[in-house]
Amino acid sequence: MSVATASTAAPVKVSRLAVFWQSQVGKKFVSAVTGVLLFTFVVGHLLGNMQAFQGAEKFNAYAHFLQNAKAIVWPTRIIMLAALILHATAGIQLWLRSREARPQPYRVPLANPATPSSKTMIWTGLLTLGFLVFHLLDLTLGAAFVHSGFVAGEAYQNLVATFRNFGKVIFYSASIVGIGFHLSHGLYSLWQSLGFRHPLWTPTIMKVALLVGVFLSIAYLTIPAGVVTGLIRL
Amino acid sequence: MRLTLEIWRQKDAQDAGRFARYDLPEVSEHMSFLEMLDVLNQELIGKGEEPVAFDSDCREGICGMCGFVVNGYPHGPQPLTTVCQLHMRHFHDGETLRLEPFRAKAFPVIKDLAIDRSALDRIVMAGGYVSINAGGPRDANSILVGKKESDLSMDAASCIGCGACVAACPNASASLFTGGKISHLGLLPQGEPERKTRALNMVTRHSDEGFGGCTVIGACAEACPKGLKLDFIARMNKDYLAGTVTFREEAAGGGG
Repeated sequence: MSVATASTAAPVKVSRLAVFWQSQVGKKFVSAVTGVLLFTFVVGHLLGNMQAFQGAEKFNAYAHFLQNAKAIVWPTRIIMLAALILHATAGIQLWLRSREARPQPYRVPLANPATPSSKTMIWTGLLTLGFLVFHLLDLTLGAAFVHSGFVAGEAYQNLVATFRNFGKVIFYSASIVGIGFHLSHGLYSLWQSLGFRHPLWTPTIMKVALLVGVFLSIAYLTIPAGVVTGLIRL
Repeated sequence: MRLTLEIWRQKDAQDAGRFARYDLPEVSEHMSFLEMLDVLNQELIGKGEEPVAFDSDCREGICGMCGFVVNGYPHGPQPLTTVCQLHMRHFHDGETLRLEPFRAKAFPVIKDLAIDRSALDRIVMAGGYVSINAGGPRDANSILVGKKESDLSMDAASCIGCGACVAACPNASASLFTGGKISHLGLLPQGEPERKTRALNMVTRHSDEGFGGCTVIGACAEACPKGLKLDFIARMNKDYLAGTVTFREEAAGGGG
């Protein structure tokens, strides 16, 4: 079987890793693993941020602790940045490839059972990426054109100032909801990308993923809501 | 019953294509969808017009030759039904039906609703086989197969290769087809020795043919006339991932 022999050799001729990265299953695997890493950051970041409700002293002390804990912060930053780059690259490349796969669109839209979150992964992903850049400029670096009254080291005061700006409340809230949508599909579909599907567990995973997405959105939304309602104030 | 059909007419692969409108005042509800198109074509031929080209063969729902999109549903809105087995009684009087070919880069339109699905054949050629030394007939029970595995394998093997999964997928992915072919062999002892290289070769071929990737939307499983489930895509991913890690190049060429 000449066809068989020729194609059997093909996957490892170059480098195993390159072939893996080139394949759609490989990219999805990378996307799943890096997605899990990024998810742990979303959870950890929430736990840290919730201290905003405990007042300025506690919150600023936490921020101060992070700034000085270079041995924890820098490795985390490097891992997260690498995960983010891989995750975004895989996602965007897969999306582009999918678009190429149907150059002629349907004139009558397909009757699709897709959930809103699964259809919008690329958009909620790009929104998250944009938000991340803005958020870092706003509350980590304090770039003047994003946050005019930024004071280094005064994390609590900076936070309150950000959410006294109505435009920022809207943008932060929309982005948080976007991340919730992204997670509610991602936390389910990553199992499929890792090769796990089971008639008993998969429906449960789907429900849990949705709940986690909704819960995280609501939990994060309490912070701008806290400032707007005055629960978090100077 | 009276129906209005808007059918995609396209002379050849280069033609831009457009919808053409046809009024059918007397459609019998006992006709299959393809029989209705036969009637329309007879009329068109009588008028000296070009008949509508569409794929069809067995008309029993088992060969995988027919298929086009009706009102946004591959094979029409009836679940678990190929368009040749779809009967007109499922539609109502006065309805307008819009017919489009399955659209994917890997499925070029030949003419009107007829498409070239040989990309799927090439995916099968890349690994959809078992290499067995044919000898004398073996005892039927010499290789034991578990009931669950054999049932699951049969579920996967019921894929007729019609391409509805590709048509329904927002990414134009043939993952359900490829996963089905990988699973129905990989689940059986006869297919086990080549399970991982099969997944490597077929997934690679699937990408090379220009199909998109799976994003776990589930539209394929909804559209599949044979009810293949997303489980087979998970199995494909698992075999591919395992194959990537454990694959070994052949140490020596045969014999030795």
